Amino acid sequence: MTKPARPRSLARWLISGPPLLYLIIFFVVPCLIMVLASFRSPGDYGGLAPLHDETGKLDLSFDNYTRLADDFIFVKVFIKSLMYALTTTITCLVLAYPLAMLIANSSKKYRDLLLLLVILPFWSNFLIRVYAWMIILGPQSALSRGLNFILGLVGIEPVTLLFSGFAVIVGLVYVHLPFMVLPLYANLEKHDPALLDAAQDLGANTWQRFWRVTFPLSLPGVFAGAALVFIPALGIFAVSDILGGTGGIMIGNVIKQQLLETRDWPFGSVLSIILTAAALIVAGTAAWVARPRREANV
Amino acid sequence: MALLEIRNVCRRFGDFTAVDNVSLSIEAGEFFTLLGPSGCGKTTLLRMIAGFDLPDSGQILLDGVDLVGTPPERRPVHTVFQSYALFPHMTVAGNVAFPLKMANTPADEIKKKVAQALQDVRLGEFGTRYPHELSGGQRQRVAIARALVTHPKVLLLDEPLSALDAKLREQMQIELINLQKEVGITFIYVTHDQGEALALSHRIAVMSKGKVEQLDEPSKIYSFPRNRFVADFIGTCNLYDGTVESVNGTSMALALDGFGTVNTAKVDAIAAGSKGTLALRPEKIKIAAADTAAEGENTFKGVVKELLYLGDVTVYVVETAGGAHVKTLLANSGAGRTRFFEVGDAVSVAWQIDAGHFLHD
Repeated sequence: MTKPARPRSLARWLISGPPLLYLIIFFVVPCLIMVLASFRSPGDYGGLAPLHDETGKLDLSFDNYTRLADDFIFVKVFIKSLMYALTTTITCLVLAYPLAMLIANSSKKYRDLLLLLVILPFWSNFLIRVYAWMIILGPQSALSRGLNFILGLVGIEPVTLLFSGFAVIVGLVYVHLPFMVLPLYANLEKHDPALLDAAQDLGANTWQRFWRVTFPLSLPGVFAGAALVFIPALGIFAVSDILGGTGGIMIGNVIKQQLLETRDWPFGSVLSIILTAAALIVAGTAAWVARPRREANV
Repeated sequence: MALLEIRNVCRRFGDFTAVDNVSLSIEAGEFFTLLGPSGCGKTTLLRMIAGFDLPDSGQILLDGVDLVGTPPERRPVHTVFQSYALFPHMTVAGNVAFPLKMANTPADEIKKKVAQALQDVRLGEFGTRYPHELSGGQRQRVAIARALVTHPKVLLLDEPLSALDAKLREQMQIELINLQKEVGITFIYVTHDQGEALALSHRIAVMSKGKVEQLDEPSKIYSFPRNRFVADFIGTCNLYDGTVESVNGTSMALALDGFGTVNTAKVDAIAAGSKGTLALRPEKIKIAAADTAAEGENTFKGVVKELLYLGDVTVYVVETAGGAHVKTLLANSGAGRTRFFEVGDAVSVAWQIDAGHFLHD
């Protein structure tokens, strides 16, 4: 005897099926192809060498992985990218937190306007906005000249802002700031103001109210924002391409280079896998720390 | 001298006067209630005592010291909020320890005091739980323990029982009375529930439109309301407008619409011709079948127009021959029958001279 299919589960499959299928075809399968490619040999003219060599043996090895371990330069770029992404995340958090609090505490009338201002930069092209920083940080800019003038007064050698790690981080922070502001705002906006009244009533000053009540309650928003900034910042190549010069390259630039210029697909795959794994570890940790455990308002 | 002295306090929001020249003195160890309908200014007054709001004029003195310059976190006054406002990211013990930590209490002392405070509200075993794991009544008790743990001079309670169901509310009322007796801390309780106010308080200030209408013990407030508003707001009351016809010794005769002449106890400083309102509580009025005239100096015949069966008692609305409506109640004490009268029955209603209370206009 067959049970009739429950219409609810059918509806569930109809709804979740297409996106699931999409993710399998365009994420899971490419990932598997990439994993396979990372064990293969590069072709003589780029791309991949045939899967079977002349003797008909499967041409799979750990060579590409050992190359990563041998060539310390790649590990160094990786570590530098991690530091850039981490610095970007922390800077974004420090800048976004007061802004998110301001928006969450402002009246309904101004709140929508402020939120609009936060997402307004998305309306213009990403590359144009990054190129704008090239001008702002360039040697002829008012910022550079003003800074070097002041440094000259105190007897310090002039500095170049553009094409440096500093320029990359400025660009990364600028590009990713809204991704930190929005989850923080969404979290802070839900806080029950009675909790702050209670804390104050029970003897907490402004600082204590923040560190004991507001901040711990906002941690899910902090982790969500941190993941949304850290993961894309780690893999990005456009910002470091434009603002970083030769010294400011990140792992994203190296991967792009391996796949498109050197055309060493297997080694590019190895670097991509390491990058994806790092992103998954960070996202997983953030999701685990921010997992919903308690009701928002009790 | 009173512990808390409120002197000529006013608070306006634009054109609206929330608190209008209120003066109160509250004694140490008192269970004091601010009672009134929503918007009467009771919560605004409470927030000013806590320090979340400041009076536009007037003074609030605690132990003779004006509190105006003292922010909420430095006032020896704690609040139990209507929503409890427990910190969801802290355990029950963490919540109760919060005010002690803010006061830089040594860790071993915090441990001892938290345990004692939780014992006091019968939550000794619940220290490691989180607020969302507790029932409404338990959260309420955590909020009280948290507010009492540092022994403030005054505990403010802002409609703390309004979120609980009726049975639990009654139980919590008894617990509150006992707790207040035990700790001896002054409680200032805000509520719109007159039953709660009568049951809990040593004294009640009935508020309306920002003013204190009457300040007295619960029994005085109930039996001798000072004006129409208090009579109407506290319990159920029959209110009849009329004129004093004559004053003789301890009683006086009133001309009331729908009744004719009614005798009632004399009130001070009254003369024939004065206008006012007779307030009569339903439970002071006797009701009997028409042929067995109910006993009492004022007796009127009438017909049952409406009834409300409440199980233990039935509320009857009797229309007199003159057209007045008298609300009265009678315990359903007859064995083997649910109630004594039905709609349309001819009855008589009666009350003693001292049953009513005349409110001079």
